[in-house]
Amino acid sequence: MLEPAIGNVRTVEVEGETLAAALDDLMAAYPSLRVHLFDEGGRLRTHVLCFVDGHSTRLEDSATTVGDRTEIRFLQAVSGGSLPGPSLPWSAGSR
Amino acid sequence: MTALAIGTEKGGFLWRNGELTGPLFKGWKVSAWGRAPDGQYLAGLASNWFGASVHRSPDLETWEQVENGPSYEEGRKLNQIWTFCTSDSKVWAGVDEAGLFVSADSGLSWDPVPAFNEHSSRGSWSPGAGGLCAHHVLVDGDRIWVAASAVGVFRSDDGGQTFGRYDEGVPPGVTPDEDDVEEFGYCVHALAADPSRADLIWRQDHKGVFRTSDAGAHWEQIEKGLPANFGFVMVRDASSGALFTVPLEADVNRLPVDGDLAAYRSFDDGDSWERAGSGWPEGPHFTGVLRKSAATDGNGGVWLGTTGGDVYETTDAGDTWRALPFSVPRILSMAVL
Repeated sequence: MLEPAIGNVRTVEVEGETLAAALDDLMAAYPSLRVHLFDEGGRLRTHVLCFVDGHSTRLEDSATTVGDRTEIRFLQAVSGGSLPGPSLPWSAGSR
Repeated sequence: MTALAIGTEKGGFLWRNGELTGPLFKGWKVSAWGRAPDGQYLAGLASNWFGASVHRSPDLETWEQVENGPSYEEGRKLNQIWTFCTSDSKVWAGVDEAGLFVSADSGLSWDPVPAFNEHSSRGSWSPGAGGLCAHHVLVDGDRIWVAASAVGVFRSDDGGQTFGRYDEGVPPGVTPDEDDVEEFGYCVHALAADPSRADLIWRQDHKGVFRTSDAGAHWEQIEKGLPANFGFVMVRDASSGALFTVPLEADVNRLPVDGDLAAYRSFDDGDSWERAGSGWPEGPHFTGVLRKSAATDGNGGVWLGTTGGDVYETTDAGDTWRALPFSVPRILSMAVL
């Protein structure tokens, strides 16, 4: 779903010695991606997962060192159902 | 008509020259369509996981996401673009959580409208079943109306510098027990203005069907001939003067009465209504039409998209209808582009 935000490809290379720097480089190259990965507070969206070389992270430690061959993957956490109550944006109410 | 744009829970579709193309934006909810002052087409996309965004296209074929779409600071979430309204050199966007944004560069960048977004009454705003959303925007010069569910109708007379509330004559959705507490929750579902007289506006509300002839200062209930007063749709066809709504049984049963899916039409500005023409499904159809799933070309053409993914078309102001020969996912938005 996010391919259009990065030029209709699935993989891009970024620069940076830390996770934070790599993500900064990614956002600089593809600014349209930011709204999809991060919420209004700049946190990783609830249902977006970030894996660094296969390890899930919520970006708690953005100083994590990354190397030339580090793979950073963003995945969608598929979750089903919904909680009761009308305030959820995905609640099943009519519009 | 260049195209009938159909936004669904799972992408967008275009109906042109008897052919359906799509889906555009695979996997995304397409919640709004528009046309910018520079001629570019606009689409509002949303995802339960990846947020909301605005996209532009010169030709309805190639689309590009704008980098500076509507956005909130922390503390408020921008979940969905609900509507675009283009007037002169500006485009206005109503969003969920309820807010108003404006673009002066044909949708490339957007600014919040503080007078609405930070309105003094905001503390009492509360979401309805469809969320807390600003879903209809009407503009006539410096006068701007914004309909927010489940809050009410707001009007600015100064180009968006200030907004007042305009719900007199409409019962509130919620009446507090305490006498000294302000009534709240005016649950407007849809607005449509007369294209030739902007202060004549019709309102499909949670509490019924209403009309104002003084720009919202007073609303009167107009339901003669309707099988039910609940629904989400209000459309005015400019050429014929016909009004359309699609009645649903009640808020606790949001389906056509007895499964009789049909639009109701008025030729007297809402004084009376009748079932509109022929061509509706013969068997029971327990689907509805959502508030942004109706479109008109202003020349007798009206299209209604259902939650079941069907589109009903009239090109003679409602005398005859037909189901278009396709089925798409649940329809959220439609526009004639």
